[in-house]
Amino acid sequence: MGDFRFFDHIADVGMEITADSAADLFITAGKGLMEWIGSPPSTRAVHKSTVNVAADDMDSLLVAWLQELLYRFYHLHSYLMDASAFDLDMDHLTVKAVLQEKIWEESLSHNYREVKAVTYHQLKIERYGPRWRASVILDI
Amino acid sequence: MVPAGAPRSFWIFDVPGGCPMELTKIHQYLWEIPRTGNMLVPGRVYATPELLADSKSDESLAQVRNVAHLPGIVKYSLAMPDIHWGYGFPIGGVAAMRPSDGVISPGGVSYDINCGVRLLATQIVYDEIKAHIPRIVTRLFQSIPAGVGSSGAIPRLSRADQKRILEKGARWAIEQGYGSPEDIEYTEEGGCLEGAEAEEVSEKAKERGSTQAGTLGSGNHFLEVDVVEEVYLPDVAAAYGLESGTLAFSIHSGSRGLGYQVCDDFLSVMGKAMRRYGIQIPDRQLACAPIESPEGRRYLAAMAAAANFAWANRQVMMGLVQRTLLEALNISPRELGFRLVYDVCHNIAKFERHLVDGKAETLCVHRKGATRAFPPGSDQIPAAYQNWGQPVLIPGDMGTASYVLVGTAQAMEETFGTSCHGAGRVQSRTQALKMGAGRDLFEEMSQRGVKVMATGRRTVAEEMPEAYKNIHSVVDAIVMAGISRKVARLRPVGVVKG
Repeated sequence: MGDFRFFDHIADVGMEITADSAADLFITAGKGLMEWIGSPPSTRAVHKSTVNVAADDMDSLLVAWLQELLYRFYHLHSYLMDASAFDLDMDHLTVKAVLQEKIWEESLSHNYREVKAVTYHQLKIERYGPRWRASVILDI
Repeated sequence: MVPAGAPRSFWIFDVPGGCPMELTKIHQYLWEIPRTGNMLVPGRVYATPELLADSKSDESLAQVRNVAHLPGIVKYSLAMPDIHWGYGFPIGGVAAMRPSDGVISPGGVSYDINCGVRLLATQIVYDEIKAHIPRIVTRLFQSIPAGVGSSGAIPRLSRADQKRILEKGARWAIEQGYGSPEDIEYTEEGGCLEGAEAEEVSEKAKERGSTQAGTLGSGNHFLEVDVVEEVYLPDVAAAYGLESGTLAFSIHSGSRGLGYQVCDDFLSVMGKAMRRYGIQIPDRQLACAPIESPEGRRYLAAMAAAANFAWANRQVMMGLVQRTLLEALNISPRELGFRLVYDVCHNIAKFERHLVDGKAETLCVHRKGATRAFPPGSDQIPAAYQNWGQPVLIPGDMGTASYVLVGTAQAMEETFGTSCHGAGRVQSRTQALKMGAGRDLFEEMSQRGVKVMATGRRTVAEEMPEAYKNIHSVVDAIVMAGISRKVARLRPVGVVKG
C-alpha cells in the first residue's frame, strides 16, 4: 500500500510518494496527482480502459505515466480511481495497465485545479530497503 | 542611471543545496556570476540587492549558472529582476545561442509556450463610467471562458482549422472576425512565427487545443481592466494611444493545453537527442538539441505552431472583449476607440539579429519569463512606434499596478533587447493560501478599488498581491539599469481570473 504527501515549491507543488513496490509507486503517484487536482466526480459508473506507456528510463516512465493521466483527465474527462493488472516492465521500460476511471460528459468543474505538466525538476525515484520512494514537482 | 566606474564588490551567496556562490557587483543594478567549472559564459542578474535577496531561498541563481553550460551560448546567461525558480531555466532567464553550434531547449521557453500580454487602449474616460465597472467586469467574466480546462469560446476546431490556426496564428482569428487586420502590425512577429508546422504538433496536443482557442485558463492568467494612472513619457504614451485617465484592458494568457503538451512531447525527444549528440548538462530539465539537428528543427517548428496558437488565442479574446464592451456600454466602435497597443510574448525562442563583439549575428534568443524590448529604429517594431521603441508590457499583481515600458538601445547591447515580464512570485501558493485563510480577499480587493471575479476563491488567494514581489521595485531596477524606460503606469480596477 503506497502513500503520498504534498510539499511546497515556490510557484508550484511537489509530491513525495512511498510504496512497497515500483508498480504500487506508480499507481500511488497517479492517485496523488488526482487528489491534487480535486475530488472524484459524483458519477457512479466506473469505466475500464487499457493504457500503454513507454519511455527510455524510469524517470521518464513515471513522467509519461502521470502525463497520460493528465491528458485523460483534462481532455477525456476521465478521473483515475484505481489501476489493476498493472504491469511495470523495468527492463523494457513500459507500463500496461487497466484503469478504473470515472468519466463525465459535462464541462470541467471549476473546483478542479490545473496541473500544466509533470516536470523532471528534482525528479527522483529510489529504492530504500524493501520500499520505493519518489518525488516529483508538478507545474501548476 | 548607473554611475560610470562604480567600484566592484563581492557578495557571497548561500545557494540552497549547493556551494556558496560569489556574485560580483558590476553596478548597483547588475551582478555577475563568474565563469567557473564547465560554464561557457558568466551569468548576469539585473536586480537590486533587495530583489536579489529574494532569490536566496530558492535555486534560481544556480539555474542562471546551469544555463551558462548550454552549448553555443553567447555573452552571458542573463536574468531579469523578476527572477524566480523555474524548471531548467529560471523564470526571468534569457540566453542567446549561435545556430551553428548552439542548442534549443524547451526548458528555456517553458511549458506555456508564448504566454504573453496584450494591451488594449480605449478612449473611455474612467471617471465617467466608474460606476459601471462592476457590471463591465461581470459581463467580461461571462463572455470569456476562464478557469481550469476552460473551453467553448468558439466551436471545436475542425482538422482544417487546427492546421490553419497553428500556421497562421493571429491572422486566423482575424479571418474569423475577431479584431481587425491592422492588429497584426501591433503584435510581436505579426502574430505568426515563421517556420510553424502543424504536422510537428502531436495529435494529443491538437486535441487539447481543439476547444481552447479564446480561453483565459487559470493560475496567474487574467483579464484586467486598468486605468492609465500616470504618464511618464507623454509623447511615447500618445503614440501608443494611452491617455491619462482612460480605460485600458490587459489580457495575460498563452497556448493553453496545446503548448503544455508540445513542451512535454519534446522534452522526451530532447532527452534522446542529448544522448545522440553527447551533450552534458547539469539539469535534465535543460534537455536540448542542436539547433541545426532534426530534433532541434522539429521542436522549433512545433514551438512556432504553439506560439501561433497563443497569438490566435489572445486575438480571439481581444475580439470578445471588444464585443462585450460595445454591448455593455451601448456605444459605437468610434466612441469606444478600441485599439491594440501591442502584444508581447514572454515565453519563446526566436531568431534575431544582435551584435556580438561588434559584429551582427543571427542568434536563437530564449526568453523565459522575459519580454523583448527593442529600441527606437528597430525594423522589427510597428512603423508608428519607430521613433519611440517597442512597448514592453509588465503586469504586476492584481492589486497594485502594471507598467508600460519602452525598449532602449542599451537593452540591445546588454540583454539581447530584453526586459523583465512581471512581478515574480515570492511566496509559494501554499504560503499564499495560508496567508489568505479566513480573509475575504474579494472584499479586500474591493476596498482597494478592484472588482475581482474568479471561477474559484482558491485562485484569488494564491494570486493575492502579497504573493508577488513589489512591481515598483522590479520596474525601478530595470529602468535604473537602463534596460527600459517608463512610459505609463496602469492601476487595476477590475480583474477576471480563472
